[in-house]
Parts: sequence; C-alpha cells; structure tokens
Amino acid sequence: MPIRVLIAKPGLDGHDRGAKVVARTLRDAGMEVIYTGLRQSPAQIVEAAIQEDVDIIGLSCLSGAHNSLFPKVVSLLKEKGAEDIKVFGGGVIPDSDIPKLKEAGIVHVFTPGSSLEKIVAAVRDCVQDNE
Amino acid sequence: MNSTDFRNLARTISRLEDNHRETVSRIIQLPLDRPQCHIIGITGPPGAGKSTLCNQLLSQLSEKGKVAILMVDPASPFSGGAILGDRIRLNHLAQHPGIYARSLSNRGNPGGVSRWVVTILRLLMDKGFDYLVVETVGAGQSEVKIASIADTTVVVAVPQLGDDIQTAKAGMMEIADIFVVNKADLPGSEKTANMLREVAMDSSGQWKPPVCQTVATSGEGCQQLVEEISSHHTYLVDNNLLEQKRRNAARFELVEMSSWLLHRQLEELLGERQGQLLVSGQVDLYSRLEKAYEAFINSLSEVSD
Amino acid sequence: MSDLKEKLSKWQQQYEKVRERFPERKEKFTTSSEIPVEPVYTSLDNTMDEAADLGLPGQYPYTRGIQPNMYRGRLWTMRQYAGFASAEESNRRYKYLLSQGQTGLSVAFDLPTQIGLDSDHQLADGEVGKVGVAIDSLADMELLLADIPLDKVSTSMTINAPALVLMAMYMAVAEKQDVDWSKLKGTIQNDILKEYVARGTYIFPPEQSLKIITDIFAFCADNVPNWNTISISGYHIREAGADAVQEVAFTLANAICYVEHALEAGMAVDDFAPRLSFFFNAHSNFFEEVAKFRAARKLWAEVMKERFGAENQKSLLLRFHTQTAGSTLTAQQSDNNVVRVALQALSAVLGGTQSLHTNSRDEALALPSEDSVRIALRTQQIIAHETGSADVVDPLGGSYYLESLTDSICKGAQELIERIDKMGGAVEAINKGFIQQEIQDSAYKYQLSVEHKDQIVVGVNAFETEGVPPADLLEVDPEVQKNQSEKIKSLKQKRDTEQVNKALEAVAAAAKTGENLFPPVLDAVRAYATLGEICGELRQVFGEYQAKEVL
Repeated sequence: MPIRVLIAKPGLDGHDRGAKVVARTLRDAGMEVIYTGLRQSPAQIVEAAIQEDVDIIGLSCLSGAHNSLFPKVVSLLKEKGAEDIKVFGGGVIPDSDIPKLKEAGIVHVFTPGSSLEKIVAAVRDCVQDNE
Repeated sequence: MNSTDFRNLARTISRLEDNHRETVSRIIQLPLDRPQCHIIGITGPPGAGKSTLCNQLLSQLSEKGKVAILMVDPASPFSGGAILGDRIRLNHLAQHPGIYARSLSNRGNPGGVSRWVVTILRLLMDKGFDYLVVETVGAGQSEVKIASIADTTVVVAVPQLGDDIQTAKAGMMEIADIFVVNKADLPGSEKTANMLREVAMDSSGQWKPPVCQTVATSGEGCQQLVEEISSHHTYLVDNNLLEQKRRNAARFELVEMSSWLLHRQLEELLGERQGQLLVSGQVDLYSRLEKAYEAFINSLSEVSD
Repeated sequence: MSDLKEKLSKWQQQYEKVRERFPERKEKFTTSSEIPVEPVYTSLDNTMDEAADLGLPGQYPYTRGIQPNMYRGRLWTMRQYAGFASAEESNRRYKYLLSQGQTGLSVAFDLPTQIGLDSDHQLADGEVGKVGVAIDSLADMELLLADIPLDKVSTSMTINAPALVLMAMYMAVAEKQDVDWSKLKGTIQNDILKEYVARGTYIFPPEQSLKIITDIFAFCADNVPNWNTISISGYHIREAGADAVQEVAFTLANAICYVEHALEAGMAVDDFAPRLSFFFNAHSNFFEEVAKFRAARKLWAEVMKERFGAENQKSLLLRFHTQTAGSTLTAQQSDNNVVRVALQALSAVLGGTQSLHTNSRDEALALPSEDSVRIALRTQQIIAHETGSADVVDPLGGSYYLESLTDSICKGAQELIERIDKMGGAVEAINKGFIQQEIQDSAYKYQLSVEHKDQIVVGVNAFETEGVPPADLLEVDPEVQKNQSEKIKSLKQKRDTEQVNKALEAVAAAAKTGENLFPPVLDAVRAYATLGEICGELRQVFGEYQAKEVL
C-alpha cells in the first residue's frame, strides 16, 4: 500500500525546484505524490489533503513566509478533524525558526542541502508511526 | 458535503484501493443503477488539455448538481510510485463544497484505470453525487476500458495537420460518444473537426457522435460540450440503453475483481508443490476453472431467485 | 605542427601508462552541461581561425567582449540586489550601500508586488515585505526613492508581470524630483517568459504579457531612451536547475521571441534592440562559466545580424548583468559561501559582465544581514582592485581549453534553439512543457548526482562538521503587512476617488482596444491608484495564466 503524500507550495513563492525534486524522489521511492502547483492557500492545501486522503503533507517555501503559512496548515487540519495527517516542511528556513515550527506541529524541517535519502526516510518513519 | 463527509469518503476510497476486504464487500453491494446519475469518461492523449477541459466541465456541472471526479494517472513501472498532478488545474474549484476530486494511480493495472474504479463509482453514487467524471490518459487500451465504464465517453483530440489525422483516427471510432477538438484556436482545428465528423457519420449506431470545438483555457465551446453530454444521457435513458451501459461497467468490475482474486490467491497459496502441478501438466486446469466459475454463477442465480 | 602531433602522441602513451597504474578519480570527466573534459588541450583541439572566428574585443562577433578596452576604462557596475520590509527601511539600506561604494541600485520587490496584489490582499498573508519591499502605490515609491538623485544613480528593478506599472511609478517620482525622463538610467527585468518556466511570478497569459512588453518597448524608446526595457534572464532558468548550455539556449530563445513580437508590432529592429539587456547566472564550474558568457555574446551577435538583419552595432551587443548562483549556497558551514561567491564572481568578470551582484553568505538561511552584504560587496572590490583581473581584456581568451568549451557551448545551445524554432518558438515550447521538462530533468539529475556523491558539495555531502548555526540573521518585522494595509486604507480615503476611477476605466479601455497601455497607466499611477487596482483591471480583460506544470 503506497504512502500518499501531498507536495504543496503555500503562499506566492514561485521557486519550485526543491518541491519538484522532492516529489520525484518520493515517487521513485514508491509513493503516490499529489502535486498541487504554485500559490496555494493553507485552506486549499488542507482541503486537497483531505479529499486525497494523504498520509502526510510536504510544504515548500523559500520566501520567508513559512512562520505564518506552515502553522496555519497544521491548525486547519486540526480544525477539520484531520490532525492525523502529518506535515513536514522545507525551504530557506533559519535554524532559529525551526523550534517554533516544530512546536506548531511541523514534524520535520528540511533546509537547503538536505539529503534526499533522509527526506524519504523521514516520510516513511512519520507514516509508520501513525499506523 | 462538509469536510468530515469528504474525509470519510476519501478514507473509504483508500481502503478500496488498498484491497481492504470488508470495505470491498460492503461497497460492492451498493447499487450502480441510479439512472439520474451520469458517469462521464474523458480520455485523450497526453497534452490534449484534458485536465483544463475537466476543470471547465466541473465548473459548469457543479451548477447543476454534485460532482465527483476521479483523475487517473499511470504508476511508474520502476518504483510503483506515481506523481498525480491533475489537481493543479482545479484551482478554486478544489474548495467547492459540491465537488469532490480524487487523484488515483492505476497502480500498474493494465488498461490505465484503477482496478476498483467501478466500485468507487458505486460508493460515489451512494453518496448522492449526480455527475461522476473519470479522467484517464488515453493510450490505446485505456481508451477502450474507459468506454466500458462510462455512460458517456468523451474523446479529446487536438488539431492535427496532414497525415497525423489518419493515425489519430485509429481506435477512436468505436468508443467515442462525443468528440472534442480542444485548443480549437490553433491551426488545423476545422480540418480535424471535419475529419471527426466523417468518422461520426460512419458510426453504425443510432447515436451519431457530435464534434465539439473547445478552447479549454478560455472556456470557449464548453457550454456546448455540457449540453451534448446531457443530451447523450437523455438519449441513453429514453432508449433504455443506460442499463446496458451499467451492466458493462459491472461486468468490467467483475472481471477486474476476479482477476485480482485469482492473482492474490496465486501469490499467496501457490507454493512449490502446487506450482509444480502447473508445469508438469497432470491437472486439467481448464475444467477446474470452469467448474469453479459455474459454481459462482449458480450461486448468483440463487440470490436472484 | 607536425612536431606537436608527434609530441602529442608521445604524451598519449605516457598518459595511458600513468592511468593504468593510477586510476583517475572519475571514469569520465564532464562539465555541468555534460561536455566531456579531456585531460589536456592543445592548439589541435581548436581549428578556428583567430582573425575570422574569434576576433578582438569590441569587434564582431564580440566573443572577447563588447568594448575594446573593457574594465580598463570603467569597472563593471557593482549592484547588490536589495530591498525588504517597508519602503522606508529599504531606502535606508540603499543609502547605506551607496555610501559603501556601490554604484547602482537594484530593487527587490516582495511577492505580492511582483504578482500585482496589494498588501491587504488575502493571498499576501505572510508574504508582505519578505523577499523585497512592498510597493502598493506611488506613495510607497516616493518613500523608497526619497533623497536618491534619480539623474545620478542607475536603478535596476526586478519586476516582470507588473513591470509597466512600477516603471510608471518610477517615472512619476522622477517628475516629482524634477528629473527629466531622458536622464533616467536603469533596467526593468520585464522578462515574462522565464516566469512561466522558472520563477513563477506571472499574472497574465503569454500573448497578453508579450503585448504589454511591446507597449513598454515602444513607449520607453520615445520617452526614456537610456533605460534598458528588458533584462532577458537566464539566471532563474539556471537556478531552477538548467545546465549552462540550457541557460544560454533558453535565454536566447526567449530573446528571439521578444524581438519577433516587437517586429510584428511594427517596430524597427535597430530602434529597440540596443535597449535589450541580459542577465546570467555565475555558477560553480569555473571555466565552463567563463566560456558560457563568451558563447552567449557570440551567439547573440550572430542572431541579431543574420536572423534579424540588425545594422546598428549596438543592436549586436549582448550586455549582461550577472548574479552569483543562489542555488549553490549552502546552509551548512555558511561561511564557505564567501569563497564560492568569490570564485563565481571572478568567472563573471573574466567573462566580461557589465554589472554584478554577489550573493551574501547567509542567503541559504534568510535574507542577508548588513554585515554579510558588506562582505559580498567587498568581494567584488577585491577582484576589481587587488587581483589585476580587470586590467586586461578577456585574459583567458586563447586558452585551448576555454576556446574549446566556448565552441561546445555555442554548438549545444544552437541545437536547442533550433529545436525550439521547430516547435514554433519559445511560447509554443513553453505551452508544450518542453522547456519546463528539460529544466526539471536537469535539476533532478543534478540532485541525484549529489545524493550519490558523484558531485561533491563541500560541507553538504563531504567534509561535514557539526556546525554552530550563525547568529544575527535578518528578520523582517511581521508588522509590515499591518502597516502597509493601514497605509492603503488611509490612502484610499485621501485620494480623489473620482479621478482614480476614471483613470482605472481608461486602463481597462486601453487593454480592450489594444492601445498602448503606458499613458493610461501613468495617469492612474499619478492619481495614486494602487498596483492591485491597476493589475486588477488588466486581469479582468486579459485573464490569468494557468500554469503548465511538468514533473
């Protein structure tokens, strides 16, 4: 049973190289990856995650808007009774922001240069923990 | 529908996809014969603009009733994973309370559709959706499969020039209930439409497939497409043909299911010794299978009595 | 010559022997564009005729540079891209940079501005002031440029889809400063095609966007003659994952498309071609990068002369800005980035750039701090004043290896451009997803090569240390959005509503009839219509682009 992942770009940032490389990597690791494209609001992302019944959401943001956008996704999931869907994130994110994001419920934060292998392993671990 | 309903629905679909036994046996008992519900198949080659067209279709159909769309993409033959990117086109429709959209991988199922697609349609019908749209990438075989599932099969083509038209013809004739020439603002549109009209005239049935010219990016011609889709539905109902269509779908489901069960049994039960029997040729496999299926058919007639 | 051949064959034997005993580090060596790299190059590797094919600096085909003396006359413009938070804060940073010896401004706008949304728009949540300055109306532009003499500085604005509106605001500020438009110098990026494939800040569909761009060309040629009305950018294409050959090919294919549109609109090639400028990436494969800049210059001169029949010499010159590669910056051991940037910057200087931005070491972590920006600027100044690199023109010209690489890049790029031509040009190639697919494939291939350690990235997949994360990162005040929204609210109360409405109607009317949009937009800007309002009118008429995503 393949893991289902939603890869989304919240906010207005158009740099999707990382998101697309991660999407391909997860596919090549045998997962089903739903890619939503650019300029997604947290509400759109959560709705897509619910309708697609994904196990986990990956958010990518390089514009610095992560502090407001990532936690919004987590809180909307909670509001809709879907808090079992995990959320991880990546992008240009200062180390000092990571504890706050984790506290807000983001399970993993990947910064530039993160190894693809680690990302795949982290996604697998999260989903297995869930089951 | 609210998000809790969508969530439950989405999870049930996942369980079907994951061959969850209890779920399959529960959902397979739901009726597939609601006549007011319309199963629409959309197929065509990659790059024909199917997703954008579906987006327009969804937007118009959602004004008339509840719509569900299944967007099927092929799995990678290497990893079994898939990238399902059709959702990108949905944009604002993704949050419409009357639209449910689900991306499916064919999970390597030959024919380009998900094994449980008809069973999923039963579920959606039960949840009160009026329009069930199934979008598949058409490449030979899968075009045919979608035609045995849908009430109305829409084949999307793009303007072609010259000799390409001849090759495009192959395989389309039998299955299309409606032809669409998308990207009709490109050169060659009129020519392609005329070619398809000729094909349609040759069609042996009473229904002559209409040809719609659309520009999905602007919505041009999409109104007409929706009208043609609903007149095909009326035609099917008026001529008592809808039931036949649903039987085809149910038959497809049965074949898929039995092949899946056989495969699963083979994998799980066919150990060394039984495997040896297949090769050594000591068993009349044909008769045994025949008997098993006879027993199955007989058990069905018990139910209908 | 025969002597050389003899020596070469002897060397070949020596080489094979050594390689047998000591296997080389890699089975095959290639550049980032997979151009094979031989162990050594000689004059036999290049059969070109120096006089006919290579020429001299300032001479066709300009492979060696666009001027005869290059940096011996004037150094390149040191231009650091900056802008964040509010107009007031960015204005402060610009004055600081000018006081530190920077010679041109480069304005970064935040994402809502780049997408034509006001700061109070719902989609702007969390983005206001983040990657650049928020500009909602002329009032903000006035603050941004306060006390900066617009007749003295040259200003580059990284703005694309709404470039016309921001340009109009800049010109309106010049009016208020009593600076004649003919004295304005600078560049707007205004390169929409690469937004569809690499950067993502598009608004309208390609045909409508190209119409706006042509309007800008026409209006500015008459009114702002010293302004570069487009900066055709390979930078972002490279950042998105393309290799060096693809960077050159896709940039020039886009440029060809712009030229064709301007010609179709009835302009004469020599009227606008001298105002076309380019923007490239300086990546890490040092020699390939130097060769890339030279190859691009040569190809462009040939395209302009042979394909478009340009006669004005200025139409043939590929003038370009360079920025060091943001995607090569690492979050790990981020001080190493200073070294990466220095080498990349040197390749741009040896490649003959007209202006240069050097990235700051902390940009893989956050917006750059003032200290980091200063080091980045100092890096350029060291190259300019201490290394002697600026004292001679095209110092690597004639290097057997470099000339061979230049040639390979020319050929590879030409082939790709031909493929795009066959598809019907850049817009069709984008609509088909061809360019996106090419970029994605290269990006993925590169990432896998890092993953498998075929490509070593120091501090990332080798030579790792448990680092202490740097302190003192710049943080944008989250209040910016609130303040900007309040500013818009009070502006809307103060301005003459009737005048604004009339001006906006005129914008919509021009969009419908196809008249040049510049004059009505200028009027709307002067009336303090907001960016979001003006772009909103255009959205109504032109529609919005639906991305063609390729994975």
